[in-house]
Amino acid sequence: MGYYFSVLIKIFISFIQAVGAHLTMSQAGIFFLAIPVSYSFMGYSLAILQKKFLLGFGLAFCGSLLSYLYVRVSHESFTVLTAASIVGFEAFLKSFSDLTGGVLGISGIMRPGFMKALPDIVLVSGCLMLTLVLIENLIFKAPFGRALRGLKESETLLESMSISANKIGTVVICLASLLSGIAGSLEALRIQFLDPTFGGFPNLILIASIAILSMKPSVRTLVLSTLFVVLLPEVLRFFSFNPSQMGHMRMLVYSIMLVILIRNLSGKFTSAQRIV
Amino acid sequence: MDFFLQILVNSLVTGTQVLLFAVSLYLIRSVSKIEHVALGAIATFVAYMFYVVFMFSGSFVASGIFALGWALIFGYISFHLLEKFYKNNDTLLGLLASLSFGIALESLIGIIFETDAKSILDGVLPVVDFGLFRITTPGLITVSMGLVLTMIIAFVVLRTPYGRVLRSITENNALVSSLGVNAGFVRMAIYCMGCVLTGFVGVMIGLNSALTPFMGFNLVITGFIALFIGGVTDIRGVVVATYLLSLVPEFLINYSPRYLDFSASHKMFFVFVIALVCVLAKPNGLFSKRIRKS
Repeated sequence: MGYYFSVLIKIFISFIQAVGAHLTMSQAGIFFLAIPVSYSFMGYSLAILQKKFLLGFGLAFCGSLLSYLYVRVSHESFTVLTAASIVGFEAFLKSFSDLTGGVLGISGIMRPGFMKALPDIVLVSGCLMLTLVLIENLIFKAPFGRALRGLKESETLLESMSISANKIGTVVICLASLLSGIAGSLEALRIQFLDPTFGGFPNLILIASIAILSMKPSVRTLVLSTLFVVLLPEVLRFFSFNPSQMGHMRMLVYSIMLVILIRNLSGKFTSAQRIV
Repeated sequence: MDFFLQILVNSLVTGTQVLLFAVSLYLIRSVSKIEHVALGAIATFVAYMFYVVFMFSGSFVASGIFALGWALIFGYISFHLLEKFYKNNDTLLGLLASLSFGIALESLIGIIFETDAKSILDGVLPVVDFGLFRITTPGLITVSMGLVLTMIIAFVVLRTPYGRVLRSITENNALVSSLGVNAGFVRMAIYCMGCVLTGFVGVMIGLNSALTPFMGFNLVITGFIALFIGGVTDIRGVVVATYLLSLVPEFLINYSPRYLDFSASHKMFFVFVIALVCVLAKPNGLFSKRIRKS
């Protein structure tokens, strides 16, 4: 039963994190690759500042400082810096061992009273997911959602309608950081153990797969792609692979799938195609 | 003084490895606008292929030819994988596809060879003693070949008609094609060249230390950062940024007060901090000038 609960939590947590990636990458066209940094940052903040959850959530906003970079540098440099921040943060976690436990990580993370058992975490993360389904649905119907899509189409046109592209970008990056942080804290509470590999590029590949698979501004597509991407490697469990190779197998499946998806999507969502 | 020189030489070896990655990224970006970050994994894969043949034959020539063949195959695959993104002007999607391709290759290496370190050369490495400092033979080959190759590439790109063709492909592909240049072939040749250059670095790392499935990743990320700090169109800036990112963290680690307790694991953290500072101060490259937009 524990396995099914874990898979359910993984679906819910991945969805929470994917909402941020969906809004930034798929809708706004901002390649914000530091999503795993917020995920890991919040997980560690929670573990270090046990019983000070509010302070932990406050710290999640620090991840959103990256949004300042979006305003300051070019789109390509922003993508590079956010990708590099994953490596930089992992190096930080490994190096400052007095604070983070170094390569050994932090074990025995205490769960709060209302999340003592796995079914409780299922309930909390499920409720959060449902709330986000409603919120994202509202965003798509609101002017903010239209501005997001407009940002992807043409920044100049957006600015000509008196909507600040920088403001929209900053807000959506902050939102993605926060959601990713919440997902990271829930995952940290589930596994009760953290090490520098928490988050990182495997997490980015997982979330980017979901975001790219659900290019449309639709919550239903996002839910379906989350289910597909999270459940796909679970099929590997029915084959008798060496346990030490399971992680590599999982990554191989994800990355090949992502390459195929991206190649198929290329050109389909550019404005030039639609104008023709 | 000896200690200072030894650190300088060691950083020079690492810096040249990063430099060759950065130059390969620069060349590929020049013709396709795509940052081919899978080069790190390709270098690792090529080095593993060198290792496999060397274990069976013990011949550097046979292993080298086999590794070169694999590098060319990866150049061809990379071209066909990323050409669609170039044509559709989806460069950021191309970056993501390249990242995924790299992770797939690393996972494949992990499955085939497992994650433990593999040494190509057993025993003590051959060392060249210069009196004040020492350098391993693979390290010396890396530095000398790296600097010579970079200078040749910089000269070709900046001073010859071939370099002008190369740069004009990025500017206006259709116009260059109308002048009788086979732009597709040039792009494929550059992809192959990039893969050969990084494959060479991969083999040299394998000879200098040991092979691990993820060894190319940090190097390509550092090269990637150097490319953007230096300025994506300025090879001079890329060279300076590469050595800046290699030397500064190394000296910070070795010359900082002992109570700060900096170690080699801090290196990537320092690289990120330097990148952050440089990009915020000079977003368009180290040697960029302010240009008034119309």
